[in-house]
Amino acid sequence: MTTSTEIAQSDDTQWHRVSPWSVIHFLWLQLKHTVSFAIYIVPAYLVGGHKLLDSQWLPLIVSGVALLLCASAVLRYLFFQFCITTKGISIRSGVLDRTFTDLTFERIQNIKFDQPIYFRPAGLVIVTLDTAGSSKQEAQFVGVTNDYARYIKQTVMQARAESHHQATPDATPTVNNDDGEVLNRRSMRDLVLHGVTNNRMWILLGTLAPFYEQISGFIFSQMNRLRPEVESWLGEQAVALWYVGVMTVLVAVVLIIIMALFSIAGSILMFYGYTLSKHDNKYVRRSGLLNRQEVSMKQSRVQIARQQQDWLDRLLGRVNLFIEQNVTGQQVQNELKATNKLLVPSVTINEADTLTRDVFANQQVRQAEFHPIHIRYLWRQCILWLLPLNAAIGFSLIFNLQYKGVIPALLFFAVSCTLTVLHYKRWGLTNDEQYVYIRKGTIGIDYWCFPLAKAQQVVIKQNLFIRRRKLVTLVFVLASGKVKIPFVSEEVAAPLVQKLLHEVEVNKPAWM
Amino acid sequence: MENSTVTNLPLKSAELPILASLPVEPVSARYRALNLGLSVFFTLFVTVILAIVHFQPWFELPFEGQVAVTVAAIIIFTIGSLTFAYHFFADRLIFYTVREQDIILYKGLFFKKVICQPVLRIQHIDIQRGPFERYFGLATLKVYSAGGSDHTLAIPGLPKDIAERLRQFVLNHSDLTRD
Repeated sequence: MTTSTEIAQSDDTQWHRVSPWSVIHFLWLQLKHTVSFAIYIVPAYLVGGHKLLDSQWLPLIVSGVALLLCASAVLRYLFFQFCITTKGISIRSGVLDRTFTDLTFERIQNIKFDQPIYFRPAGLVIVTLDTAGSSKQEAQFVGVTNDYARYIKQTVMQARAESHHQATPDATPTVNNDDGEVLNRRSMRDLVLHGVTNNRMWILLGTLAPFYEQISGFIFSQMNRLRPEVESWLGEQAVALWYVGVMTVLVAVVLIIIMALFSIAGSILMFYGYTLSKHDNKYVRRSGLLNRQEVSMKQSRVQIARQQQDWLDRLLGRVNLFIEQNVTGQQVQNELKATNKLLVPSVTINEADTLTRDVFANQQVRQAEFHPIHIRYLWRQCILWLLPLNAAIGFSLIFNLQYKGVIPALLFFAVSCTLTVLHYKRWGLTNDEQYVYIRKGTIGIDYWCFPLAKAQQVVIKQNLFIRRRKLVTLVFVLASGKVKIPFVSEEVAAPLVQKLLHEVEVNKPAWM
Repeated sequence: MENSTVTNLPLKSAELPILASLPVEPVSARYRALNLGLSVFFTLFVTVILAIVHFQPWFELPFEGQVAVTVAAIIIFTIGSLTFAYHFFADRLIFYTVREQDIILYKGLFFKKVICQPVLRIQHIDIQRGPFERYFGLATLKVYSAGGSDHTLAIPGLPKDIAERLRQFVLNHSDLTRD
């Protein structure tokens, strides 16, 4: 392994600094830290600190802190240096803790561009280099010009291409067509649809709106009806608590509504001006209203394509397409921000199919004939939760509301039975020469598709009951996570496992 | 190794019940003995401590304390005997097979599990030995793939030299130098 000095010495390159504008970014980061810190400090100050500290010092302290923040932001800018050599990128950073980071080009997995709103006037971006392995090995260039960012990206890509196949000259991107071929754009309407379909709580509460008065009326009448009993059981003070409790629940409901609205706004912020394009065998997603984000993913790294559809998506005929590559590091990332997933939000079924075909040529996931899973899965669901749940709910409804409870109990029984049967019916597994296809879902139907060649490991599970029926639960471990399908008959599973192992072990395809 | 000459002999027919009719090797019998011994030892150890607390002559335990100690002893004893029973039956059922192109682990008492890890997809491999395992001359072979830490294939209870040999087999395997 080459160290920073080795890389730096290997050819005489000079150390660069990022743009002075990066001070704004560092300031912003520190401001965020300070504010989160202040949340703890301010109450402490209000409770006891103001006695110890005369309030006339306050402006002085605040301005002192502000000055410190500015100074440290400037220092962080001054102490951040990087150089790009033929082997990799070295970075010197940190004011007191000097850190030297070395990234050889081969280890850089992903290059992400972010453009915060305060960088837009100057046309600067933040470049994040993701490496395989731990999340600590991540390098950020804050505030480089757009052109320089592209230059970094091109250098990395070129170096990697050269090291991978030195003999093929066309592997190096010669003419850099920046936009590539645009595969998909999302309109505002699509984004609103996406916001709506991905915040089902909001819809639920919205449809309940006409009944709010009746519901709250019902709640308060019930509370008043129960009041004497509560009083006799627990005493008068408890009644106050009882009202407070109900009020808390109501406030919580209102909060949930507000949160849902926020997340709709969030999805629009995130995906505004969405384009998915492809160049040099790389998929590039650009989107964002305030912060422009660019995420790219190499086609050969894609492990699985998932077409996800919820009940609302199904009503509207939309699908969320996830294109996933390997998970780097252990951290769980927000689905929207994660660099290992490429989400194409709320596309139509045809678009989803076409895009999936672009990723995995000749895939047939929507045309395939699926093998259903065994009916015992349905019985297991019944015994494990359908019957116990219905018994509990039916009993409590009828016990509390007498004959009035019969209809809701029956309704719940009917709905839960239908959903369980649908869920069972959706499960399906099949494969062709290249791909494994899985169908699942409850009301909406999800279609998953991954190449046989990408499998890392196969796990076959059987408990004693399904073993006797010659059924198995299959788990395919991919670099992007596991894919599990229950209650497959051995007749389907055995040839599939053989084929998959043969493909991986004899043809020896790369997974990256 | 050339692609055309790659073999993976024991598999020929697609009608095989999944990976079940391969010749398998059990892990060391000492592994079971170790687990049984450990569960007996720890159960007795904790029970004896609780008994000492209960019956010591120096101070009188309050009534709640006596109940708590008794309940704790019962719980420990139950857990201990369940662990003992589990290892008694389940440890005999751990088998593995090493083929030319993959490593297969069989385990499970009520929930049977067969894990097949192609050598091509192995990221790295190591041998772990706790103090008790060292004393018994045993080792656990851990095989990591890009599937993440949840899917590490671990073969427990291997005699040390066999674990070393398996590790060497994987390291010498031509597939590991690919990519």
